[in-house]
Amino acid sequence: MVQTRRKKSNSVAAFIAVVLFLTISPLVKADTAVSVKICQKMDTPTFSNADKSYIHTARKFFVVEGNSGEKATVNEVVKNNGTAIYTGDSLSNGNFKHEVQLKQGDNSITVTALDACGNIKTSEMLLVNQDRGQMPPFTWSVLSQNLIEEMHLATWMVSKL
Amino acid sequence: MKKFIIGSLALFFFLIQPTVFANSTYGSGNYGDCQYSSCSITITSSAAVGLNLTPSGSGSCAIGSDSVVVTTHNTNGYFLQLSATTSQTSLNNGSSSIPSTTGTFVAPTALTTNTWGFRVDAQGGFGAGPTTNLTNPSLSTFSGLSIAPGYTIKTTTTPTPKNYGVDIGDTTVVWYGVCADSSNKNGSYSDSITYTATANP
Repeated sequence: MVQTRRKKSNSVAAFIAVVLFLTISPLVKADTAVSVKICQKMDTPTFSNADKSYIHTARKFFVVEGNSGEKATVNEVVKNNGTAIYTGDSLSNGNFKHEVQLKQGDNSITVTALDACGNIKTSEMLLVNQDRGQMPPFTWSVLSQNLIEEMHLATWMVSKL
Repeated sequence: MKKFIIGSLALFFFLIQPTVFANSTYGSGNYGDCQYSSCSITITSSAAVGLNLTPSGSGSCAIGSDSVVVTTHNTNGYFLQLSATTSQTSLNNGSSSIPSTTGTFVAPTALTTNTWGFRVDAQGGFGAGPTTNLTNPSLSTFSGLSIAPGYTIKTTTTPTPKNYGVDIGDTTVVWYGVCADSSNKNGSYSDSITYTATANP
């Protein structure tokens, strides 16, 4: 009987010791967030609406559009003569489109793409020459339109005779 | 007698619980060789480890480190555990994930493509390193993550060092490596790690 009591009290003591150890054992915690940004390899941005690197126009605006080469949203910086004129995100497929206000004379336009991993790619320079004093370019369609109008005028005048 | 013990335990648990899990200094009564009010233990970590990865066709790797600093006056030192904060051991980005490597703390393995893991130089089954000079984690060995209580990544037997009487703590550098190929979609993949430092009895 006495031995049984002793065994019980020993078990209780052991239990208390374990509980005390687990409970009062000083512990502290710290958390760290591990994050990995994955960015697929980015190609150089290209212009899809410019088939040549030199464009001559009388217009005051020119729309640059193309793709950053990455099938994801990237940050685009459009520069004209070295000055950033637009900064913003591309579409989710990497496509970009932006209207550039042209200055008289040469406008050297570049698009720089920056992804979330810090990769940077810059397009080749697109040179757009804006000449506000230039006459509209001659085309056969304009000429034929003028001929038709003159023929109509002549017909009308003949009918009045 | 039984009722008294149970009642005492219940009261003890009630009183002690809020203090035990606080992330602050802790000390009351004698504990091992630690005297009253000197048995504090503190821990700090970098809080964030950020890696950037631009995979090539067959895969690329990146590596970064976290510094965990533990300070204690406990004469028996402390032990440091590392585990996933939740049951999640993968790096997750929405429905996409990069699983942790199958290597363990005692038997770490080289990282394969689309896995990630940690290593602590000169601990467990890791080699001596130094990982500082390593640029490609696939050339070294890493352990996968486990849920709490996780792995005991360091055990000391003395109080943490001081410099001219000022605590400078004991620093453990934990390296995290990841290897991924171009099959992973763009975005941020993340997981949370919990370090637990406990004073040795």
